[in-house]
Amino acid sequence: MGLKADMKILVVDDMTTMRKIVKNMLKKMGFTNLSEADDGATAWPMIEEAMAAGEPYEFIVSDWNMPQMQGIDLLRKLRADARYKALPFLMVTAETEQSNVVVAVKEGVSNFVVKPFSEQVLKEKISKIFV
Amino acid sequence: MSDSEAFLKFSKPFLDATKSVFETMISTTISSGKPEFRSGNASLHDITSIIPVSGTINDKDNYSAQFVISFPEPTYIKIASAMIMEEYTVYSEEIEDVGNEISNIIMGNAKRDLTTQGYTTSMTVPNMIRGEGHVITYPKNTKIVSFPINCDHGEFIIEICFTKIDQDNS
Repeated sequence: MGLKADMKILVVDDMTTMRKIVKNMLKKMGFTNLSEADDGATAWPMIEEAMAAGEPYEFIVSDWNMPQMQGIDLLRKLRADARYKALPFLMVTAETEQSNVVVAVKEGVSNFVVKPFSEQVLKEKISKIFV
Repeated sequence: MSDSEAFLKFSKPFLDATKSVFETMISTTISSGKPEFRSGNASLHDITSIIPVSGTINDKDNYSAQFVISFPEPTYIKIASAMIMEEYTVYSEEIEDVGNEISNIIMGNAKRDLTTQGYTTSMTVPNMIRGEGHVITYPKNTKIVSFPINCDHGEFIIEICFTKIDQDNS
């Protein structure tokens, strides 16, 4: 799957600031079709509704540490469903959780980015997913 | 190691992490002025994010600490605008968690370096306080060191307090 400017992307983070930062970085990279959710529990029905409408999300950018449903639990839920086994998933993580990256890789994460990160780093992480 | 040396050793990861966060996500370099011990608990600025921290040193001594980052409101608004990449001219709900996000990332990065120095770190979620002269609650019997910081968007301060806890009184 290649990179498309109108690729449907869902940004999941409980912090308004990080959602805005990631969305604005993605906009600067040229992506136009962006939605947001404030945690995994909110993201899941959005992903399901988009699938049911025949316009599924094509890329998820999710924080790890969120209330209700964490990023790793959203990833597990997606990978347990045959429809989302290959859905590209970028995990955003704090340095304190870097050891958890091993767990995320095991669960099928596509790539991860550690905070703090620049737009250039985010771009490189995304490019590696969509090679 | 003297208390002063322990304090400096504990503070460095926070200063290094602050530099990294501001350079990477706010596109500005920072310079630190002369650190000073301070007393009193009235904040020196308008908007403050606080993270209490506790843990052990080399699996022996317990410690109690706190990371504080405090901004004048105009500086906070400029930093929020640069970080989010949207122009804000007044404080609003849209930028109210910027301070906590900054302190979260700083703490996350500092924790990595503290771990390599033998500190375990347990921290709570950051707490944000706003208002002129608001009061900051510091852990009991800690020294507070204030680091004045300057960046392209103005001045702000970082405060770090740290104390070893006497096992008999913990």
